[in-house]
Amino acid sequence: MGPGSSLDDVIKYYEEDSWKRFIEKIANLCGVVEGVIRLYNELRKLVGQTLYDVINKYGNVYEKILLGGIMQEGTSTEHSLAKFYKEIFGICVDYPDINAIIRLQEDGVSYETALKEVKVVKADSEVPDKIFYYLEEIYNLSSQILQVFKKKSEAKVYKVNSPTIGVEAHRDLLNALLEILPQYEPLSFFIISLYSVPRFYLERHYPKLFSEDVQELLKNYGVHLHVILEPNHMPKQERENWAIIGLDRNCVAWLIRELIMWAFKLIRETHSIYSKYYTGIEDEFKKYWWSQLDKLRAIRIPSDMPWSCGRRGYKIDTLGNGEGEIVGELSGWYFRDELQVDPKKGLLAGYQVVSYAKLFALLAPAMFLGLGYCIRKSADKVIVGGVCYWER
Amino acid sequence: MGEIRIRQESKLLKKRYLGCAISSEEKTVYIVGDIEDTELLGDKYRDFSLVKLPIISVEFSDPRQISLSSYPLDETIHLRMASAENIAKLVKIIPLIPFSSISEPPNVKEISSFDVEVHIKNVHGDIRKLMDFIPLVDYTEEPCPRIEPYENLDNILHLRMIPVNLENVVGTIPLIPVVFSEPPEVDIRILTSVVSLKKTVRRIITSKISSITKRRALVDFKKIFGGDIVAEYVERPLVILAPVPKEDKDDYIEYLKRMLREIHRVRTKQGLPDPRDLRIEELVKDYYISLIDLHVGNRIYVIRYEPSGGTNELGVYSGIEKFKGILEDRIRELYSQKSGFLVIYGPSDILYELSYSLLDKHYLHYMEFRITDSQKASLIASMMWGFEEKNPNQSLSEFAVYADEHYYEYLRELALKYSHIIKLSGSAKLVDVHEGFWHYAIKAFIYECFADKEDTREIKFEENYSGNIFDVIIERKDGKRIYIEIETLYGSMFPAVRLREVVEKRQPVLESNISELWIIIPNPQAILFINEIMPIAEMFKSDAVRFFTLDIREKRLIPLEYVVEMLTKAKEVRE
Repeated sequence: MGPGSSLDDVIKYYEEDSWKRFIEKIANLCGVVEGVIRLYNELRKLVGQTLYDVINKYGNVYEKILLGGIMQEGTSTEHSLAKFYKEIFGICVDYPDINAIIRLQEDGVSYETALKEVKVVKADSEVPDKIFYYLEEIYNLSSQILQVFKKKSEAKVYKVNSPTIGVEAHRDLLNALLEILPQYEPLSFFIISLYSVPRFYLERHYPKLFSEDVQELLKNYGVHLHVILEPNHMPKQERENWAIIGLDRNCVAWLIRELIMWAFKLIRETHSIYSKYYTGIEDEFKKYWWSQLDKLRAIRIPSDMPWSCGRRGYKIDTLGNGEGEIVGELSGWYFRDELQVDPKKGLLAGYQVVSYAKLFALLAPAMFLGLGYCIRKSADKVIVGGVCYWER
Repeated sequence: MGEIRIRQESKLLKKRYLGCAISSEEKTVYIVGDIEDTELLGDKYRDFSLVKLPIISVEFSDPRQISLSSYPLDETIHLRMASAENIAKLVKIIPLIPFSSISEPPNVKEISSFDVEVHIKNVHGDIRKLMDFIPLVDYTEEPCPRIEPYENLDNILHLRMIPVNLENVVGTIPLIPVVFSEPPEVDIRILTSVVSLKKTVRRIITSKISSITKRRALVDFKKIFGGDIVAEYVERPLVILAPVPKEDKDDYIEYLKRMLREIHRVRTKQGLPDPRDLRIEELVKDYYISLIDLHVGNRIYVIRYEPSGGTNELGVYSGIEKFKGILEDRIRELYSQKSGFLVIYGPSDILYELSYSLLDKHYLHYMEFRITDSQKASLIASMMWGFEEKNPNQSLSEFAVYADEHYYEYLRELALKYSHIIKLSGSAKLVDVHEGFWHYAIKAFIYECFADKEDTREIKFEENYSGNIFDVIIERKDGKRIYIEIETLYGSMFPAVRLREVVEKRQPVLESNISELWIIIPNPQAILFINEIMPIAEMFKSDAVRFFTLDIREKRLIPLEYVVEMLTKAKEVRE
């Protein structure tokens, strides 16, 4: 499989089994996320109680969760379990309280008695709250998706009977998130490629896409396409070919795309913390978008092609969740313009006519890879943006 | 029409080709940017003459306004060119090329705004071609990686094993006389760390001090460095026990040395301290050691002890006795020396040994330095040298060496750049007053920050105003006036006293609502002495007096409140 041939052989969007497997992955993610959220709630109940009470009420396992790997100087070891729970779950014993445990023992007070003096507190860090917030978003989206398919996920149970239960829960979470990322799941790539793209370009990649039976199947799995922009000034046949089509905002596939973006976000913003405790975790978002950008850069444009769409803007923009997020680190030349849709002339930038065909011919590969977009702003306005790739 | 606005070439974009305007009538190619000859544009223009414009942007104020580049620039110059009208009529616009991609000028094709319309009318055939032309992209499914936790997650309960500190319980346990028939064999192992012992001493000292002062530290340096050197260093020598980190990446000694230099310069009138950095190895001959001058007054004396002889069966370094012998006599002399630092940089168990066998006996003014919050320590380092960014792979030592030099280099360059504009301090008084480098360089920095600002009307240096000579006065277009005093704090001993004097002397000059007094403090001093500066800043806050330090990365002044906020809100990372 290389550039130039269709993607139907590698992305089997026309087979029901592929979709069933994909929905299973979402169900698994939903179950794991629900389990992790419950574990968060359970652990956060400890806040405010003394360590002595916690251990007596819930067992010795909490002693390792809250003090495992904390050294006698009050510092913690590199892979300290207590540090893990502090940084990921946001519960800990405060530094002055750890000092108190040390000091009281130095003064001859027993360890157990010293524990009466210390309380479990919420860590002074935004990361655990951020993770929790992302988990809630991911749970909401994934459960909404499953509801449409009348599928129920079962929350995975994480009982606090081992000090490493939190580590195991987050391992399951990270693995379930990876499973739905586009580099590892062809249907995720498929959904991202449908965001907004000229119809003929989509047809050339996915020859079976517009056949009746495939459209029927896709509708069953919530993939609804609609026309975002049509070049009314073109002859009829060309009008259809060059129409920009994309996912309907009210369909399930739109939610799935959102879910993928949240998975990217969670890993992107927390991978540096997770990497202290897990092997194999990387900034998957960066890795993925860079590889897409490389594909774009590999396209060589013959020098006699008269591009007229460069225009002036080069504002860094997003392709992630609609507006203003995530894609900020990719290098390349970005632009974003609001264009007037004129029924006779086509697209206007101010009073200057922009060649519709040239603009979208240039942008089509970027749009297909998720690096370019065309959003309908109002009846007579569209927002067009993306990465330019005039490297020869 | 007839005027072309030409913007000056940006330093950053120098030597980058950006586009060109071609006048067929004049047979001239106007190059915007940097290009050597017309040949690169293709055969068609081989005979054209080339006019290179030292600009990156041309804008025509014609209604058919077309711009070659609208890259935002700072300066605009208006030029009149004889051929301006011709260019405007005949201009052909070459699409701009992204800056990053230029290895050679592109083979461009002309398009004008007229062509575009014509093209659209006959669009059908071309569009077919265009559709075929656009290449497809591929997709490859990658194997999904598996994330696993590290196997060695540490759940050991080290805190269960804290030994009882005998010093604390003596007096509460009844002493029972024991008579041995034979002398017992006693095996003593040292279990408590230097930290815990030090904490005991510290608790006594700090509780006394805090009951006297009651002033709360804004930035808790103790939590970051294990101790607050600034607070401890006044008048007499301070001994610092600095444990060698286990890994090179955690090395901090050069950072510590530079901190001490700045603290010494503020706390004393002795100027730059005399540095000594001595490596004592176990096998150094006695006669050589005796030649070393270990006088600490007005010095930063770093002794690096690197035992090489291994340990005996009790875990004690075999060469330690010799080392202690060298130090003991010197430590006995510290009680009556001028301010200075003795830094002992060695393994923590040796430092512990030294603290209880020498320092506790002969000289109690000692403390331990240890990076306990690496993130904040890095942040402080960054702020100390103008907010220079620290590479995460750099050790604090490596960063300090680099940033200290870069900070100096940056300000030195500015001082040289503006030396024809900025007056020396004292010139207003017509007396020969020696102005320090840092003081002068910061005036240059202020000039760099404000000279180009739109709302700046005039910047004056060393102006006499109502009997006060101000380092800098910025007059703004809105009528506001900013009086700036640069205060290096060197030799002030207590910065708060100096600052209060400075502000109170100049404050009467301030006209209400239309003027402010800004005190600019160089970064190292501002950051290290922040706890002593901020109470003054608070005291005069409502009187239009503000305190700043430098952000050389963004070329701006940073209010000290912001520094405090960053240091108090930054996440705590304990290593």
